[in-house]
Amino acid sequence: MAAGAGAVAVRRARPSAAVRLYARYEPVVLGAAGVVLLFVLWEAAGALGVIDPRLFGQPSRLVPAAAGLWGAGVLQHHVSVTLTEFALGFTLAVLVGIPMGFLMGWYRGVEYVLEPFVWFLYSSPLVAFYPLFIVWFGIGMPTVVTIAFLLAVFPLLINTVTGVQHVEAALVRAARSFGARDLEIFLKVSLPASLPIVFAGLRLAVGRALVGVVVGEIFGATAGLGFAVRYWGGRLRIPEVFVFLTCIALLGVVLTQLIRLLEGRLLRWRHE
Amino acid sequence: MRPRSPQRASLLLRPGARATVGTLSVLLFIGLWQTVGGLALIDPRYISTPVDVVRAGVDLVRTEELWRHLRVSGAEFALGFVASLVVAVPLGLLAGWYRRLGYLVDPVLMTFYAMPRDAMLPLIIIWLGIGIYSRAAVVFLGAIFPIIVNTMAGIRKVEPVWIRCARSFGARERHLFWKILLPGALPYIMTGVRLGIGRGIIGVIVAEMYVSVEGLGELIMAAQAGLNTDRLVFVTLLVSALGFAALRLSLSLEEWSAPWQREREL
Repeated sequence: MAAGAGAVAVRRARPSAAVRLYARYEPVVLGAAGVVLLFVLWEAAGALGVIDPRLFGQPSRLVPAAAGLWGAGVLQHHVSVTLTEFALGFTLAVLVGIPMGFLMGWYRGVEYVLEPFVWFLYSSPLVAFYPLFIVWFGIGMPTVVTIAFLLAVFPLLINTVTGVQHVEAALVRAARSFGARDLEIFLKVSLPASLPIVFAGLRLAVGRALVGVVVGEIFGATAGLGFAVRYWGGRLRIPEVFVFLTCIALLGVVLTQLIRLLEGRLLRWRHE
Repeated sequence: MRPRSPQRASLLLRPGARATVGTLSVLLFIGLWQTVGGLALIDPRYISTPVDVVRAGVDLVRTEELWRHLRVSGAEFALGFVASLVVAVPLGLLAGWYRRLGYLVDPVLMTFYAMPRDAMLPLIIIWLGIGIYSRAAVVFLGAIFPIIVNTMAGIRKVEPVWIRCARSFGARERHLFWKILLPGALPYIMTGVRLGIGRGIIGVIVAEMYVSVEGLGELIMAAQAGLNTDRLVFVTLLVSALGFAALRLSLSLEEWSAPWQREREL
């Protein structure tokens, strides 16, 4: 029995190179297989008449649609409008949300005064305000950027407040007893120690800003990916709709990954 | 947190200071709003005034118009959200427990999770029409992905030691599931539920605004089309209050499901 157990251990320790390679990349291989499977099933269901490709699209019909939109420059135009609006809304949210969050986390008075408004606006479906924004700012980029900004700023703010308030008291006391001033404590202790939670806020903010941009474009714009989905959807051009939806999905993935990359860079010191 | 000397911070540290200051600041805001709108420093057609908003609200309640729309929105939300729970929790548990299944569905799930799914509205209308089902479908799509993803994460984060320990004491798969995996994953599932509720409420309103047949979203659109800012502000504030109540409710549900875990990402 001892020999048997040893044999098993040896076999486990030296799997063939191919198996080892597969084991290492199993998540990637299976993940790619999942995506391919989805597209194959979609194509087959359309070809076999399980679903009507005129209503539910078909991967093979997307390629010519995408090529047509690209050739006409329509695709690039809408993508660049959406990206610009996202960048503006998100940047504004960062510039307002993080400093305000630090203020609210640092000064109890500021926190108490602003708290009711922040929580109310955080939990409200701010998209509902878009008719007001159109009244105030008119149709187009300002309205879309405002919606994206408002959706993104509150999770950022709330996470920053939480981050500052949950810095370990012992760290602050230690810095204080070595004679650090408020500004030094802020820059050397509170700021770096609250970064992980601030980044959690940034991740949420990316997603919500994108929702704001796309939904804002659906209702209050004449350009951008959200507008394009509505426009082609209204004309029953399903392949074009899927092309733009794919762009939106890819944008979501790329932006989320970018923020994760940045997080990994800036928080390397913290790796357990 | 900022260190402070006890004598200076005394007022703000008193019990009830938070509620008092908060209430005062809200009252001040309402007073300011009434003054600016009432004196027409800014055209009240753009910003309305608190008094007019309340009047519009009373009107809506009295004519029972509000209840009709509220019921429709509530039914859509309930239908979509229950459906998403029923699908998402078992799916998340399976994909979290069976590693290979998890790998297989991960990229597809994450793509849907990261994308603004409200953008699929025009397609959903084409598929399901403009009735209650298309709007419930938007809620369903909004809520299902946060719940699946968080349920998966919850199962994966259950301490392996607990599982091994239960196994070595002879627990069967069934016991393992009910006594270890499900309670262990519950706080994550509840986080998913909370995020899902938020997305679901946005979904209802956006879908109703888009289709504009009935529901609170339609009330908003109609008020906008009629330039009835008082009513517009009232309904938007009402929707916000509902969202706030739902968030509070789900936060306390979350705390109840995992009293040991008090800090969380919001």
